[in-house]
Amino acid sequence: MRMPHVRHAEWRARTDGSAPYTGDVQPEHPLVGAVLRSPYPHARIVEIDISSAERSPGVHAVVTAADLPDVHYADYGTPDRPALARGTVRFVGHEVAAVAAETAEQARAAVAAIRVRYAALPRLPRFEDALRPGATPPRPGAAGVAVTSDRTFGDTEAARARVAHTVSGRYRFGSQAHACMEPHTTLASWADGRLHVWTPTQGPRTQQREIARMVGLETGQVRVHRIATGGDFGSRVRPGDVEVLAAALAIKAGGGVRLTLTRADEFTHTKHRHDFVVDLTSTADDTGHLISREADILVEAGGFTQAGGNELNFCGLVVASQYRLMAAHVTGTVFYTNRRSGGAFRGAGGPQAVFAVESQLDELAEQLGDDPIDLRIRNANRTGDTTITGWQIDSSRLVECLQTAREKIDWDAKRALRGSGRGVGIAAAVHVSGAMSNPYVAYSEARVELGDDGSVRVRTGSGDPGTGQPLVAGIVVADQLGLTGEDVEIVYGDTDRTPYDPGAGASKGTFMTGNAALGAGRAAADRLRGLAAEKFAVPAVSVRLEGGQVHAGDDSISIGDLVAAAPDTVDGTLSFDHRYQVGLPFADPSGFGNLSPTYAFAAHAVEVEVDRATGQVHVVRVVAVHDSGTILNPTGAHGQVVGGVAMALGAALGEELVYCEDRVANANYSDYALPRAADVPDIETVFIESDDGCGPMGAKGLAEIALSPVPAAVANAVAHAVGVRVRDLPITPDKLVSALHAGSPAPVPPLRRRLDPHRLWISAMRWAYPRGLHAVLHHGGTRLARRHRRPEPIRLRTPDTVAAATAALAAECGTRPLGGGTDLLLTREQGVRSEHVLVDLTGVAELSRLELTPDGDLHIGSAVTLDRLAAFALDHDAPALAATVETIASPQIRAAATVAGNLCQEKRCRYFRGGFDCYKRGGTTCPCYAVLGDHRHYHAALGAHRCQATTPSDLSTTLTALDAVVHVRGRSRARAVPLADLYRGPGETVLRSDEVITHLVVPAAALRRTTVFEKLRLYDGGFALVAACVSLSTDGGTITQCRAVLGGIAPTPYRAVATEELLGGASVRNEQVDRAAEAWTFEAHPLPGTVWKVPTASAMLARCIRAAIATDQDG
Amino acid sequence: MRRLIGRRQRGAAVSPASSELDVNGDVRQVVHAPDATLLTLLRDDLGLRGAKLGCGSGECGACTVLVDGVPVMACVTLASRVRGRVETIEGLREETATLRAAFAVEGAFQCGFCTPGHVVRLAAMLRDGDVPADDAELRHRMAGNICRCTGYAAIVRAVRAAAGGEQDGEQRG
Repeated sequence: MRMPHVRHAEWRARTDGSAPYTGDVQPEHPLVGAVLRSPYPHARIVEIDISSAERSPGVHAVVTAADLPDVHYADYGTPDRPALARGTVRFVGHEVAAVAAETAEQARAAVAAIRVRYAALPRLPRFEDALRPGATPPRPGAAGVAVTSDRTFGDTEAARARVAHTVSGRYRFGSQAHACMEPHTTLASWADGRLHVWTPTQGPRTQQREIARMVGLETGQVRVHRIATGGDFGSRVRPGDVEVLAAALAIKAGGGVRLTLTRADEFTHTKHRHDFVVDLTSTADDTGHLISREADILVEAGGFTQAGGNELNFCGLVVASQYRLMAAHVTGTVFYTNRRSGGAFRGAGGPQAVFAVESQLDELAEQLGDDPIDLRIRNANRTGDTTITGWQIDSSRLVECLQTAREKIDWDAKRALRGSGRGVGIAAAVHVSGAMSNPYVAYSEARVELGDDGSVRVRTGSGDPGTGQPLVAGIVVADQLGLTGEDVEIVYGDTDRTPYDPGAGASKGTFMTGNAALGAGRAAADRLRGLAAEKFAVPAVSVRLEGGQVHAGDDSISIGDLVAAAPDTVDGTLSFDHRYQVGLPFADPSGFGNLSPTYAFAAHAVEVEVDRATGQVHVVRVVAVHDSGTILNPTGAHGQVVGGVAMALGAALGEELVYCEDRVANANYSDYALPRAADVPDIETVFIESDDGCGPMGAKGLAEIALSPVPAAVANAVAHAVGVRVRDLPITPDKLVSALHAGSPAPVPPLRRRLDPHRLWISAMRWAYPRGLHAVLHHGGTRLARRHRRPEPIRLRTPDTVAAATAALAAECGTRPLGGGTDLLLTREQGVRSEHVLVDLTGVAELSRLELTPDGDLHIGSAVTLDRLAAFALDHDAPALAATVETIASPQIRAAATVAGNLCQEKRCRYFRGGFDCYKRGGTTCPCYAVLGDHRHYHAALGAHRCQATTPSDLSTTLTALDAVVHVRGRSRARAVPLADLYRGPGETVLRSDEVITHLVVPAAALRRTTVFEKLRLYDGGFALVAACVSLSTDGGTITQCRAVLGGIAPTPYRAVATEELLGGASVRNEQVDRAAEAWTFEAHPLPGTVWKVPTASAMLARCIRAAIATDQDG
Repeated sequence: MRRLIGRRQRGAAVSPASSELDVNGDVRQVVHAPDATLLTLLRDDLGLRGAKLGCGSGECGACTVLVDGVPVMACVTLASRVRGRVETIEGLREETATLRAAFAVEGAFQCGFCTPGHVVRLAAMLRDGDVPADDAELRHRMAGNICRCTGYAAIVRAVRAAAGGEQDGEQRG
């Protein structure tokens, strides 16, 4: 049956800003919580002295492990983590103590006043060490091993005899951040012997039970209040990162405490998806039937296991269950390391399994000469199957899913495109609808209340992180009573006002909450029918419920009147309770058994376009076909699929947490490539509905399986498009370009170049870094690093003339010009700028001039905003300038950010900005963390010195190509410098402290040239990995003038002079363009990870040159 | 449960700034810390909590408000520099009624934390009659607002519905 679209019950409050989230609740005088975190990856705590923190102004409570019962988070079966470090710290950022004070400043000061003595412990081996060829196989119980598993399913002997084809490979699904829009926030309040908690979660009951246990209370002493939840995705279904700390502080302070993490904390310290590596071998017989799989799964736990064992378990089961197999052997290890811990994440090991299995299926199809969809259909799990793991498939439409995906993506026609740069790929998945692992997840309760005023209310203990889980309860109850979902009031979340529900997780929300509500709704409907049958003397089966009326033959009565007349109505309400219990046995340690009451299936087809020049994958289209049984909430279901696909596209193409010295280094949305609106393609969702499963009205889980097929489908499509298989997510441009250029020799600089003393010196440093220099600088040199104090509060100066501005800049220390401030405020927070006297230039009228002079030059005032510049450039025939600005950040930022601010912004190096005591931040005794760290995307391939950063301004690339001259005024003199000479290092200028940029002039001659800009970035609005700008003019078949500039490749905007020289005066022949575009590469001096930038930049230059020539000749 | 009432005191005093702000048509004089952002001032001093703190660095858009009709990130806007008319989601409730209803019909929000930011950003587009006909361009203009839940398609449909045109309209599937 098809269910109608229903609006979310809280749509008004959730769209008009009135829905309260935890940060919006305003109890009287809440205290502010703050956390003391370990600066060491692994150390023993020798002593903690909180006495001076306790005496700090405004402090009401300081808690350490000593204040808490000696218990660990239950999490998912491997309870190893206490709420605060007990005895040892296991990762940088490990919570050691927490403070509650009256203001954030006081809390911060008190945290700083806690004295901890640490004794360093040897760092555990890194995850990468376990991945090295020849690494010692882990032993159960060995140091650093958290969980191991070794399981055999099916008949291995019989399988072995039939194997004809074998494919093996290593598949890595790296760590992804939940990146919920609402940062972790908990408000806890202790009053009258009870703990009240407001905290975003999809599992209110789990939070209640676990918080109580962790602070030594009875479950009933904790009340979790209903509060809007700004995303969960597994990150806070159980307490772990803030909840218990806030609770402990509230109890100790005897009042209300709110603990809020920053976005940087969120990325750096909270749970994330475990880093997974699956070594997989798949076999098939001669007829294209799958025979067996052998997998070794390696999982990085981090400091604590949290859900690591659970995710390993499920990953292994999916590997052995997806498609019909004869046998599987799955081993796995969860490793402790000294990084922050992974945790539950939407999919729970399933997406990692599916990525490996489905990527490898395409490799197998290739070997078999088989069509990938035919191979999948031949081996698909079908209704009535029992897998070798014991999963009883009561309902499967996988074959139909695959057939529909084939048709919708136009598979057969598009497979002919093989190798053309455009391609299609497919992947399928299976997922549970609840995993029966413990008694708490095996039942759900619901209550339906019928009022004598005709009202219908359903109570469910589920939460709503955005999935609309409670709405499902309303929908199924409404269906029973002949109403629509919007007629039913839904009371959810509050543990004092609702019955038990296990919450969301393992895709059980719809299944459990729906079945409980269905039972209660059915009881209510039966009762109404009985009452009406009695009243009108008709058989109950003939009574119909519709539109709030109960119809019996020609008679009818409203629900409210029927309730009012019922003998057992209490206070005007008739109540119906239902407890739904899953009857399956709990999971067996062997792994064999029916894990879930019912299973969902999906097949996703993806079409991609791969730019061979830049390695950029453009997903053109996704067709997501799902068998989730009956779709109870179509609006919500479409949303779950589209949102899930988008999240998985992030994992497939950009999202990855980057570590340096065991700390997350890319802890912000700029440096974590999560999809923006323009990065998500058209996603067509199709539901193959059925009601033969045991879910409510035949519904099955959906939210997690929506992610699973995507990364493999993309990898398969990329392989189809360009013949390169990437087995290591995310598929970023560097990996594709490197693979496409594998085997082609790197350009060899001429001898004179190689013997250049400066280059030799840099080469020597780079050689020495991994051989001890980095360690010496990191462990020793950073002790001498400049210390950054929190900048003083801002003092704003608002001059209205340039003279007043330069005077203000010269008047005192610590001054800096202020444009839009969109970056300057941030750099103060990040500790890379400390100026506090900010001279606002946006009020100086002269600096906002933007015009064409009578000579035709473009005069750009330094305080002109980026959006104004773009509009002006578009209107005045400077499309490349407009196009450049359009790629910068976002409309909101461009509305405030100024031209000079963009040109002068600090380098974006993640280590520099991320608090690492690097060469630029800490001084000459400190290392450049990029040399050995991840430097693939935002570091130089040419001309770098000890710092490998680049100038982030895209405007500087284009304006350099346009011969822009920067006009600068100081207190006593004015000067003009070519833009290329403005920079003396990455994001560093030659401006003196009293100088301001007044304006830039782009000469008319440059404006007359044809200019083309191109930028390679990881997401819409992201910083340039490589940017290219070519500005040229032609006369007949000859190039008369040419500028070729590259951004993102060198510390400062790089003019490819060799390219310009070859092109100047040259004819515009094709081969000439390629040769010229590569001519600069003899100057390249890349780090290992930026080698790919060299051919990429050349290809981008060539493309810009061709486009410019074509346009110029057309014009 | 030791109470340290005797030690309650404010931190070292910093000379505060004072700003006159026009927020949703009300002109208010607000005394605030000199470093205060527009977002802090709206949320903590004026009690307008519809704009959210998602990142504090101008990257996610959950704090989007209008200043003189232009969407800006309130979390990186210094309160003491704001001269124009500020409009928040609270002040735009009526104007965005159609858009918000479309959000509900299309399922353009899930957790809802980013939603006020999206609504405010799109309100400016609708007010200016400036909804790009091309979906790619429309999506590009939404680059300042991250949504982790919906995958954006429903938001695109909602703004199209509110603009009253089907233009490039995306498929619902």
